[in-house]
Amino acid sequence: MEESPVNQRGGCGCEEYRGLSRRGFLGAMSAALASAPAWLPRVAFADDHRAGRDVIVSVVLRGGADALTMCVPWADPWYLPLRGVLAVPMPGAGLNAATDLDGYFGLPPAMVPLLEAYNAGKLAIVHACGSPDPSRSHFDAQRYLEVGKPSDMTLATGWLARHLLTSPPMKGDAVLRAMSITPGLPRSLAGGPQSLPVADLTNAGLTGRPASKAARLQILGELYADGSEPLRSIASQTQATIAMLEAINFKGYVPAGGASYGVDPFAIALKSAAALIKAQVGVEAISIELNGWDTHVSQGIFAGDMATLMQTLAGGLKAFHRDVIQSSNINVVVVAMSEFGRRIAPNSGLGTDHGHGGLMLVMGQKVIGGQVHTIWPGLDHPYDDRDLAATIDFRDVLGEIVRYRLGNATLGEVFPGYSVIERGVVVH
Amino acid sequence: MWEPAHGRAGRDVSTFPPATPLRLEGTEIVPDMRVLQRTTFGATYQDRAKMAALGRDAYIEWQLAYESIDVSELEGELLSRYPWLNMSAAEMVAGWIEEVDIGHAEVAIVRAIRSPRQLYERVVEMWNDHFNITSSGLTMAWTRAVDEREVIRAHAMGKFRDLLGASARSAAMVIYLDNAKNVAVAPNENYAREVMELHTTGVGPYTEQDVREVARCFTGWTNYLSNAGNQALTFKFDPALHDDGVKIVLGHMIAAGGGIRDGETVLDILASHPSTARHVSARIARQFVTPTPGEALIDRLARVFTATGGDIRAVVREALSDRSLAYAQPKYKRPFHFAVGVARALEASMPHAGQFRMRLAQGGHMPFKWETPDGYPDRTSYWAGALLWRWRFAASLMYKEMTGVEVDVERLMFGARNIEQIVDRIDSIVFGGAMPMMTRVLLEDYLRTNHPTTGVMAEAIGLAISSAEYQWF
Repeated sequence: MEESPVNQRGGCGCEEYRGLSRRGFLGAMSAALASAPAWLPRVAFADDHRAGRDVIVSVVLRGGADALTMCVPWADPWYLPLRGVLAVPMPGAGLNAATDLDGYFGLPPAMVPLLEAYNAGKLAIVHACGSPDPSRSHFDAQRYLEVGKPSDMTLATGWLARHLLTSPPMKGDAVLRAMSITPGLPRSLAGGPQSLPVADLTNAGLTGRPASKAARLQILGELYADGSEPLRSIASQTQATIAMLEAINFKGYVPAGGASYGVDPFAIALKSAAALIKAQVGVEAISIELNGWDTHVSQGIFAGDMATLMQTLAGGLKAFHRDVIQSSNINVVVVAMSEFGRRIAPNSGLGTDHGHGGLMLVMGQKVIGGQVHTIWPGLDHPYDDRDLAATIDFRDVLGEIVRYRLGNATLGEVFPGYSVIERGVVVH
Repeated sequence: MWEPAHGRAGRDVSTFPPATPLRLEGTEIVPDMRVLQRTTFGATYQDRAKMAALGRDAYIEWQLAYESIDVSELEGELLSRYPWLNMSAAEMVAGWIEEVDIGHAEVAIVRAIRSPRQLYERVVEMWNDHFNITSSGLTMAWTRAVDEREVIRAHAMGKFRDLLGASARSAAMVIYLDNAKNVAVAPNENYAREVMELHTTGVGPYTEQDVREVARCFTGWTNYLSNAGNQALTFKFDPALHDDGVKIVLGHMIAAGGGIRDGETVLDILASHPSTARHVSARIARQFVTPTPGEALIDRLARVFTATGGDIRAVVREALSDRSLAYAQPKYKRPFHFAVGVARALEASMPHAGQFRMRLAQGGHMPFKWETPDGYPDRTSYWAGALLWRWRFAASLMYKEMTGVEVDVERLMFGARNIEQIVDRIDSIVFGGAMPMMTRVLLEDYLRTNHPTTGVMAEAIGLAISSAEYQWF
């Protein structure tokens, strides 16, 4: 199925195109059946559920990731003087210099693995974006980001959950619609339908005596049958999820396109996500986290904590790009985001304190990539005298993805009280 | 010889009353039972016997006066297994004791399972979340182990101001929230923000300007490095790094030249702030009464907090005496509570805690490993989806797949002669006699269909602890 004869790229996204691609896809799938990779479960080919919608992979970078390092505004005349000891040298300026992207922005050495997807036009960077809420509290800002409504401490459901609640399942008989590859369910999925956290997809079977497994699994569901929600639904979804995951050989998964995932938890999660997506079991939203961006001291942008995080992020996304975005005809949109950016000026500990504006990474077949989307405020026009301003609301990016890539026009439900401004980050 | 819990063996199933649906808000449950649930990591038959003997009020007082409950045998065992438990950070550095990082998580597990000071351990659990410090790497492990002993456990039931003050001078906290790098020339705001947002007032009463001013007050609060001999990795105030100018914090002027007193003044201001009384009271209410405390309850606890000068024991007493407790919504067990409760209920022996600890790591709830300073979440929505982890834990434990953790099923089931009696025994051990009817029917079916060998009885116990009812307390 990696060599589909159907061109899934460059379409206009209109209804006619969707119809064509759907019919074409069905034909391609029949042809691909004979040579299906061994790790795919047989159920994968039961029906086509894509209906022109992308699968979304949401990546949360907790801690407040330093956007001014991840994508360096090297041509902003205030960058070098204000960033001082934590500035990435401009392109061509020797050791640790930035790699230019567009004559204004560049990538630090640790983010260079992203160039491949960027140059292929599949990775977009949205810079100087964030929340209108001024909070520099991690926990409030993460809540606003994941709930999808800044300054609201009462809304309990997540933006991704509300998207799922207001759109039909991509696959009618899907066991799960959303999976978080974490021990617990993130707020973005709270209150959503058929959404479970599973920390390790490669060890997700029921343990115990093999001969009694089926009987025990049956009873486990019944033990919740007259209980209350949400556990009753969670129990039956868990039962079905065990069967679904056991049918996919995650351990034997072979990435396509020459992709090579690392062995860190983030890479393993992305690789599991790729296998899950290609198995086409109906999971249409996947949540992953890469945490630890709260770099108050010894930020280590070339070697150290932040460099390691950036390498992990960029390396994982590079592999996922090759494996899925480049090599699969299932459209996927990956969006990575953090609760806020960090202060422009470093503190005395070679770190940065909590700031405001940040960046988002958006990757996918139908992403208008190869560019930095921004309304650059200029570092001489800081927010609250100290921070990068946020000129693009994070809901503009997520909203555009929800409307055009996830096929859900009810943005008023997904982002209540906000009118999404389209920024041209994804194909409409 | 082990005795089964009181009273249920041989009872006729047909007269068994339908279980009270614990999950429904506003349903009264027996107050004694609820107090046992909230003050332990799972009540054992000994706990229930103690409650029956003392009565509720005396039971609460007995647990509150934890100092007089003897734990010498347990602590002696722990000290011989984990000899660094009473060491200073300097001694751990000198001995380069690498096992602390995993060892102190195991100690927390074993204490939660075996300590007769159950209420105290639940209070400790709460403060470990409230003053969360991630143990990652040797420096953090060593200082965190000292923090656990000299900050959290030393002041858990004492005055809040003492706990807060000890935490502010804890090398682990100073390093974790970067105050070690907070110096006059360029203040680091990390600790300043979190000491207000998380530890004391909560978001609300302070401004960004207050954050900057508090950071200035704590400049120079740092730690001795690991090569500082006997003082290694302990708190140090460095006057040369302190900003000695005038500051204004939450409307209070702090005069120039205060030195280390600046930080203590800030802690005084914060500890006595009305928002702190409410913030801390809400935390205690969530831990011991209900996941969604109302304003009236928080007010009541906050009044006790203020009237007693922030006496934690008094506030916990008030929370446990609250009439609303019997009607309170049940709380969803977090993975630690679930796993520890299983070990308590089944009287598991644990010659090696390693597998148990690793299971908790897989469940996302190994002690001292939450990455951010807000501590492990206590929202049902966060944990409820992960039933798979619980089912795997239960099935693995009962199939002896968890090396080092042993449940003696034959001993637990000794004397149970037929399927009804086996299920009665499981009811008594796992549910304290409150097993729901449907669970009973399903377990009896399972035992009947599969012939109740020891292995099948073990599986039935595994199913019982995997059931809906067992996930709440």
